[in-house]
Amino acid sequence: MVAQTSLVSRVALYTLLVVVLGVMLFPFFELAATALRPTADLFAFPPPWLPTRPRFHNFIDVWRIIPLRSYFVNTVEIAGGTMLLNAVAAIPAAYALARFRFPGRQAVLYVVIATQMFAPVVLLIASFRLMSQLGLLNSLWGLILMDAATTVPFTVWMLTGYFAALPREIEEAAILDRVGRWRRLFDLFIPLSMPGIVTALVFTFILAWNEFLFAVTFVTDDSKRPLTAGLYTFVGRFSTQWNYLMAGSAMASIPVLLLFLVIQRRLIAGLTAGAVK
Amino acid sequence: MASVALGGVSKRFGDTVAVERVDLEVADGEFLVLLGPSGCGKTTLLRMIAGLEVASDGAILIGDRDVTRVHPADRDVAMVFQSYALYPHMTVHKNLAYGLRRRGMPKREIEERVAETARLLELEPLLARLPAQLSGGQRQRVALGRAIVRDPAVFLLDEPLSNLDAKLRVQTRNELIRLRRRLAVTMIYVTHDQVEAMTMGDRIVVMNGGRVQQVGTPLELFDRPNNRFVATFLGTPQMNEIEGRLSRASRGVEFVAEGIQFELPISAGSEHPRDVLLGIRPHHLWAAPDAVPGRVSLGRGIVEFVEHLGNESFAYLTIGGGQTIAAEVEAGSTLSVGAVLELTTVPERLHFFDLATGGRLDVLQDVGSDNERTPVGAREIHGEGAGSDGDDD
Repeated sequence: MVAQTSLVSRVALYTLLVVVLGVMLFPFFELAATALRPTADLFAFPPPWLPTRPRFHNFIDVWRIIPLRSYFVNTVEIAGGTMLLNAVAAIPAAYALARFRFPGRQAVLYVVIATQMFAPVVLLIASFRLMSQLGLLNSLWGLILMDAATTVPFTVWMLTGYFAALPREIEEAAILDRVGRWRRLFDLFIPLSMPGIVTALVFTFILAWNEFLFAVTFVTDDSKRPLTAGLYTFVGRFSTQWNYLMAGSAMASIPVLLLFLVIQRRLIAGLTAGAVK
Repeated sequence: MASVALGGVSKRFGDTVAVERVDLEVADGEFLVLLGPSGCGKTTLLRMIAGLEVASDGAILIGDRDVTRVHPADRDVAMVFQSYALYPHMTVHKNLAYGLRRRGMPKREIEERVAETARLLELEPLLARLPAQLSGGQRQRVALGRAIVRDPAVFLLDEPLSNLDAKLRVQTRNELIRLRRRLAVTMIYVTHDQVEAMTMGDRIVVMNGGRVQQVGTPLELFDRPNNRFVATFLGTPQMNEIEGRLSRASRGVEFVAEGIQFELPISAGSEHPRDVLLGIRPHHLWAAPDAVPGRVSLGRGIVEFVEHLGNESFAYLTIGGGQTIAAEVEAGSTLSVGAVLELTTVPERLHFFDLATGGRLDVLQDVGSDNERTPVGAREIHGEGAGSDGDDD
């Protein structure tokens, strides 16, 4: 009786999981399928599930139709810059929040989290005016700054958890060894939290790589566009070249996919480290 | 090497008083143990000496220098932490050398000192290893080495043996005693383990509730505890406590408790009668089938159970008032539960404490001199075997 119940519930559970997985994977299936469709398939009705004749040449055409190489280079620069800016700003901030006792410390941590509650679109107009006044529209620096501004709070929060988890006695041993604050950061905290730091920074790299809203709003010069905004040019006013858009998107996703595979396990550990502390 | 002096040192965390007005002098080269239960303030006191906590009140002197507000690194102290706190990403060699490098010592001297320390602690084969590749005992030695290599004026050790298993703890304890003799440095050692305290310390400071309860040599504390806390904290099994009343009697003073009555041939002070706690260590309370003439009798007790510790055995007996007390019986004794035994002791081994304050009452300080008795040691009682030969004194 017990075994039967558990078998039934197990079947139900797995069915549910298969359905959920199917829903989640469907966009990826559609992406891959569409990327391989010949143009004729796009207008067929009803649209075929699979491309009638897979056209791998779509992937080559994309490079010709849009300056995909320039988009890639811009995206690497923006994501890399965002990552570096995160490192410079978030590591000392997290160290201070994790280890220094100062009035308002808890409040700062709450504010850091609170900034994550706003959808970036809420800040879009204000950010646009700010960028305009700073003369940073149509520049990679503008996007780096905005992407960093939106990702630093997350990095700070995550690294604060990592740094706080480092045994206090190790730091005290260093204090007695006459190791100053900055040196403690560089000699102890950074090396000992390296897995967490790498994870947090790679995650910001991925976020900046995928950022779309600021990219389409702040950049109109095609030579400054990152991948997300660049691929968007396939979406026309009257028609959308879905097969090229999807082929480009698939190629743009590959670096992110690889990075995510590298960090995913540590990312979860890092998130919980931050949560528990 | 240097002496350490604390004057009225207190530490408050908000409304909580962790350490209250501690006055203490540690002589140059002395091994002083801070002993007490968890949360008694011993570690906080040690951390204040190290400078890792700032004293809320009072002054701390190392040598002749007031270091109360001096940065930890400038106090010339080294600390061994409970968790060892080794730098996990540095090899043993780097762990030892790091502090010296930060102090700007020339490279050659660093190498010499590291080599010397490694030799002293037999760490030479481990120098290239990371802490994660060491056993608990080896890590402990590296932590010790990191303190020794600095050649500080004062060593501070915070429960350094508590993470080791029982066997290794005894071995390391002996190594520490040897090492300490060899280095002849001032050491302040925090522990909650009374055996460590008794075996290692020149003097012991017993703390409770942030206050110093008593300072003295191990034997002083054991034989003349200042108060109930010290009396019951030291010694295993714990000292028996019996509530009763002391009053004048025809031949001195009389102690009366439920089911117990005996007289002591001493001159009564002016404060009698008074409510007291009688304290007797199980080692000094003898349970045997027959009373021993010349000893103080606490009446009869019924055996509840017997605890055999190998070289000694203790019976737990119910006495007149329904209270359970522990008394020594012949080692390996085959007493059955329910047996009735006579409990006897010698006056020199009785402790009296004020029932209200818990402070020691020196009721018996004259027993030895007035009556010209030879002090009776625990060994003497042990040596009497089952007590069946009866004769004594």
